[in-house]
Amino acid sequence: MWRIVLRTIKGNEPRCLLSAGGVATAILVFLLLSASFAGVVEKSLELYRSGQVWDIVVLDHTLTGEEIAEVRSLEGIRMQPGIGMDAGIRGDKLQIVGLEGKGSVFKFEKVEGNFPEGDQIMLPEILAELWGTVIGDRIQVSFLVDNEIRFESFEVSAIFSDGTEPIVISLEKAREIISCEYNAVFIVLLEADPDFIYEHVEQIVAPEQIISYKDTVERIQEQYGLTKFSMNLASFLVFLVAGIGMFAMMMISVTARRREIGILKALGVKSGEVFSLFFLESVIVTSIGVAIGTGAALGSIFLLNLTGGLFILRSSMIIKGIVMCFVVTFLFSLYPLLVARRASVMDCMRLRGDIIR
Amino acid sequence: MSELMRTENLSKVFKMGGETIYAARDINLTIEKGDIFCIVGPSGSGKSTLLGLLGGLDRPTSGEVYFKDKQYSLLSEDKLADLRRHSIGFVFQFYNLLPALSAFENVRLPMDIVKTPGSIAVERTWNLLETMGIKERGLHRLSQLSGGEQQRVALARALANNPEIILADEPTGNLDSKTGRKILQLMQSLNEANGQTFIIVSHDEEVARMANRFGYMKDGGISRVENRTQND
Repeated sequence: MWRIVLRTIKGNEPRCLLSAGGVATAILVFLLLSASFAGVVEKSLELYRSGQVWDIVVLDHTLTGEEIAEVRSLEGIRMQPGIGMDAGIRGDKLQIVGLEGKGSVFKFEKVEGNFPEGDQIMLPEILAELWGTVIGDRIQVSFLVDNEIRFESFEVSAIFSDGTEPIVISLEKAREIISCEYNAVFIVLLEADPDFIYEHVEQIVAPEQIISYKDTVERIQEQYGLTKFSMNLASFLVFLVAGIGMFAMMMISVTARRREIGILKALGVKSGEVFSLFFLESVIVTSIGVAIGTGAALGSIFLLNLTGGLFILRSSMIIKGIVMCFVVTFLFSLYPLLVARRASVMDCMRLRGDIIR
Repeated sequence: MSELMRTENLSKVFKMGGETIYAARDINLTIEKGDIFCIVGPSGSGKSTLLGLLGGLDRPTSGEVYFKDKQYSLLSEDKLADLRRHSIGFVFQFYNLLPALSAFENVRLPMDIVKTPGSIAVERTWNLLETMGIKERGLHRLSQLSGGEQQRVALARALANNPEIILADEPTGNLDSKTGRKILQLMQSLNEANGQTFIIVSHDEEVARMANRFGYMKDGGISRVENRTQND
């Protein structure tokens, strides 16, 4: 069967090449569109990240020190340093890791004083000693909020002993300073396994209080819904045109080769085998088109990216494109294939007006 | 000789507008194994239609064709195709070869259809081309072959699966007399050497002279059947 198909393809090269060209164009356009769209989404995400993107955001939940410590202990996670809080003299090294109703965050021992309220602050012992500060003193603390340094005055309400060196202020004051709606923010490092982190964070915090990376991506994709719809519509039209082209070529091929079909049937080829012959031929032609189109897409995307373009081609897109090509080929070849299958030997041979009259 | 093919009241009717045309009318024929049966008659007498019915290429309006113990009307299209691929070879006036293929590939095609192993098919194809005297032309495209050479290719193709009968429709009709004579000689030698059965449709007197039996066809019917003796 294969041998016969390959021989007949060999004898119908121009038509087959034209059909393969149509398929190649379809998958090329589809892959370029998909890669372009993926590039746009990726670019948006990148911009979002460079501003303020949280891989995992815990909302409206007051984390206890233990919870925070537990989350922090997970491999591949770190606290978000850009939330907007900083300690004046410690520069960006000081981490505010969490805010609780009354200000306490995680492991520390309160040496003296009360939990901060209003514009009060609790300092670690080490800072208090360094600054010579005692309870009741007022100190200036700078915060980095939206890339601007902001000074706030606090009354020291307590001193605690802890090696991690955070300062502790009340949640109300923190929110006032940084307009932060979040109680805690964690970033999952790129090398970490997001699923692993998410799974563990989920055990600590209720799922509905978590916005995951996926959620963020989905939100962005929603924003690009119209673009995506347009892209899908364009892809559909591309495949539709390719399908119509395939239909036309197959009809022309079947009509032009009626005599050949008649000869094959006269030699004993069964109707089902005629169908298979033409079907295999269309599969081979489609495969050639897919190979050419995919190769062209890979090459084009490589060159476009070299010149500053942002095209991201994923294997899933290629698989989708290939599947689409074969589905379209099958659907649009079906009628011509059935025509070939049903063609009567006598009718086919009569076209030449030479025999069996 | 044993009976190979038989028809019983075979008819084929076409409706054209309001007119009914009998392309074949109540034909009763018996073809014996080893026969060269020639159907002669004027153009439009229904010779080719009859050949199509005998080859299972077309279904009769009424009547029956038997090939040995097989009754065509009881065979599905696929079974008829099976019968054609194994037991019946065709030779057509205009050769009906596949132009995309070489002479060798055209001859090999029926063997590919019955899935003959490659080495056997290759050997048999070359043998057939040699028998037909065109071995050296085997790898040529059809466009490079003369009409006579193409008809030899067609005859080789018809013999590819060693069929029990070959149906030939005006096999010399498109050839000059000299080339046509060579084709007929080939057929005759195949008949004498292998007992190959032929049914040949022709209005060529030379073909008729080669046959051992004739059927005279007129207006869709066989008006008479004659046997030729050695002395004729």
